[in-house]
Parts: sequence; structure tokens; C-alpha cells
Amino acid sequence: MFTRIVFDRFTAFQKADIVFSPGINVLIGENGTGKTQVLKALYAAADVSVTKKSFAEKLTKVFLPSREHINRLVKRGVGRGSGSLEVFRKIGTEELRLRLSINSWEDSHLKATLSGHKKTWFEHPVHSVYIPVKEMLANAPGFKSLYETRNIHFEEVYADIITKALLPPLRGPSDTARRKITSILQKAIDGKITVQKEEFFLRNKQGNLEFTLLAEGFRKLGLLWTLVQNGTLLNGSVLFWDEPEANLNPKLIKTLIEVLIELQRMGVQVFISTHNYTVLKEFDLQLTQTDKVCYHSLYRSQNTNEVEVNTTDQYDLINPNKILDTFTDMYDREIARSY
Amino acid sequence: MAYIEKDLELFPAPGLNVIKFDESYTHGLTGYDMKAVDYIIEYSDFYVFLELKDPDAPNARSRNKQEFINEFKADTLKTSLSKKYRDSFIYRWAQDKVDKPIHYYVIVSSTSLKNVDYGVLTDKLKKFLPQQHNKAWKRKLAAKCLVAPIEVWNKEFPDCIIRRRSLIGHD
Repeated sequence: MFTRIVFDRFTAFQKADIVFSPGINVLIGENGTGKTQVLKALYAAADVSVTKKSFAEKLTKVFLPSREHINRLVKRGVGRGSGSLEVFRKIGTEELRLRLSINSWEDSHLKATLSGHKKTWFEHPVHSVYIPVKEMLANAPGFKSLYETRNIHFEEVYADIITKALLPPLRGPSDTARRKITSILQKAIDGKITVQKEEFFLRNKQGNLEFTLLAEGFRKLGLLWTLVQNGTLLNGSVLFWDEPEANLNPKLIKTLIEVLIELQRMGVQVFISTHNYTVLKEFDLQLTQTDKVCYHSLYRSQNTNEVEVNTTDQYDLINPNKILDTFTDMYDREIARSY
Repeated sequence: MAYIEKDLELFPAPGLNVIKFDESYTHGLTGYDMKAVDYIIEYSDFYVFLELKDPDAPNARSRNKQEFINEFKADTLKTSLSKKYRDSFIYRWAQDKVDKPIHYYVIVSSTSLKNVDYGVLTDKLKKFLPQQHNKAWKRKLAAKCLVAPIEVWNKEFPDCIIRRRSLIGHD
């Protein structure tokens, strides 16, 4: 479970220190406040614990700065300097730390310095999945091999999600928690997902419908079904989902949040970013006292114009809540128009 | 007995204890900058603090339009409604009448507003009341807080319905 991240002159952040919930973490904030960067940094740190690859290289592949120059991730400022990020996670009672320091004058990821509990970090894999904003399963056939053999300009999260979705289903009967989640999803998408030669289909009474012909909202829920079915999302794993509401009908958002909460109850740590009032409100309506949640509001300080973060475990105390402010503005305009 | 609030009337069933709270004879502290909710209704296991807002009242728009719009802006409502609740709470505390949970209902009668508008106003009010604080608070300031249209109120409290007077033959 990730417990904390500390940024120092990294991407959008001058300095930031965010403490996470072991359950659900909801990141809100206007464009350009670094929500996706938090998700990507954590995902890279999780992924290398499994693949044993270089953290600096993974960050470069996931963020994809121009010419893959890692020093472009250092927040721009006056003169030379260094940037760093520090990720913390808990294994039992022990808190592990992994820190990467990048010099603004060195563009190769090989020059970045890794420190902290390096050995223990790589000895204890944490399985994770990152679902990017753009749906990719419809484009799966051939994409994986193309990405592996050619230098195509895609953030690695797109190749990773296809690889994880293509894993075969887990053997043996699924436990109660997994069955509950898959049945909620099957009801919503009215079928199950099958794969034939890297091509995804929705199978139901009408037959097989290829993903390219399926509404994008259903593809997203289908992806979630696949990840639960093949064991990518199990107790102890981490789900990162950037703007899950994209292309999803508001009616399906209720189901989506229900599934995210159930995953959390099953022991999956969840990180999502959102701009959507319905997503935020569904959490408020569906979460119970025993669920674990933190809302992280990322905003630019009026004094310094730097990104700052406020964290709360209560919906009413999200501050600032730019999503609510936007709807309040719409209410005000409705009043002005109507009377 | 019906309680009249401009074009709206509150029609409680016999025996239901309703206090018209925003009156000099029941409250009388407005001169001390203490605001009051319109009504307090006592049920067996909770109190209702009720505030009525009626932008659809037939004569409501005859005054200065901008002033009218400002009165119903979310920020104005947020400030005035939270103050009314808190001041009423303090008044009742001093009376030793905070012996049951309090449910705060703000009824806004407007045909222009959609469900989402009521939801947004509820969120805004809960946030600035504030209904709850961090872990230092052991209880919520209001056990329940809802901004809603008349229909929602009437469904929830059929023994104390709100009616529009101009629609039932009163001027």
C-alpha cells in the first residue's frame, strides 16, 4: 500500500507532500495541477517492483518527455538544479522509501540517482494497473508487438494496460468478493469479455460483439471485468485510473463507483483522478463509515501560483472543491436567467 | 392551524408541535445580530429546523431584479442559511432544547431549478454550515441537512405539508 509521495521540483510541483488512504484516493483539481503526474509516478514505482527494471527508465517511458530526456521532468526554474520524487509504501508495519533525484542538466535516465530501501522495494512486488484516459482495448490487436518492436510515440501505460488485459483468466473458483464484483459488471455490460487473437469481444445472448463496435463506456467496464477476472486486481494490488468518467454515461458512473468501492473492500488500493461531479457525489453517497477514503484537492496557491494539496477524508471538507464551484456557478447563472 | 409565510403555508396535523421561530415573541434577538430559521417542528426523536425560500412567489420579482437575484445566489444563500442555523442552534442550546438530533431543511420553491441544483446547494450548505468538522468533533452540527423543493418535503412530512396559497384560492 502506498502511504505517501513527496515531490521536490518535479513536473508541476515545486514542493508537495501527499499522504494517502490505504483504500480509495480521489484526486481533484483543475487542468495542470498534476493529478495525472501523481498517478503516473506511483504507478512507475509499483511497476518496477514487479519487473525489476530501472525506476528512472520506467518514469521516462510512462511520462514520455520529449526525446525521452528525463531532465525535462524537473520543474523548470531559474538556473541549474535538481528535482526529486520520493515514494513511500507500507509492507506490514515497515515503511519503505524509494527516492529518485534528477539533475536538470543531465538528460539520460542513467544519470538519475536512486536511493532509499532499494533492495527491499524490489524484493516485495506490488501488482498494479494503470488505466489511461483513452480506451485502448479496441486497438489491442497487434499493438503490443508493434510497441515492442518499433519506437512508436505512446506513453508506456497504453502498452501496459493491453498486456495486463490480455492475461488469461485465473484458474480455480473465484472468491465471494471477486464474484460480487464481476456479477455487478456483467449486469451492467450484459455479458462477458472474451479474447481471440488479441481482439476483445463482448459475448452475450446476441453473440460476440467486437470492441470497435461497442460503446466506449461498456469497453471501460469490460476492461475492469477482465482485470478482476484475470487476477490483476486482487487483494494487495493497486489500481490507478485517470478520469474514469471519460465517455461513460452518468448512469453507469453509479456502477463504476460501486465497483471501485467493492475493490477497496477486497483490499485493492485505488487512485483515481476526476473532474466529474457525479463521480465525486457517488463516492459521498455510497461510501460507508467503515470504508477508507481520502480526497486530495490540488490547486494553485493565489499567493505563489504553485500547486498545493489539501487532503481530507470527508466529502464536505474538500477544499477547494473546484467541481462543486463550477456547478454552483451554473446554478447562479440559472437563477439569473430564470428570474 | 396553518402557518403563513407569504404565498406558502405550512399545514401541520393536529398535535404536532410547531414553533414559528423567526418572530419577535419567540426569538426576539435579531437586534443582537442573531438570525433565526422560520420554523422549528418537534418530532418524537428529532427536531426539524425549517427555512422557506420562495423565489416563485407571485410578487417576489416586483422589486429590484438584481437585488432579487443576489438574494438567491448560492453564496448569499450559503452565508445566510448557515448563520440562521447556527444562531438558532445557539438559541435553542441556551433554552436547553438541544436534546434531540436536529434536521435542517431548506425548502426552495422554484420551478426553474433542477435536481442537480438542489444537490449543489445541499453540498454547499453542508460544507459551510459546517455539518461536520475534522475528528475533533464528536457529532454533526446538524444530523441531516437538505435543500429541496416542496414536493420532497411533502413526501417526507405528509403530516406537515407545505402548500402554495395562490393555488388553493387565497390571495
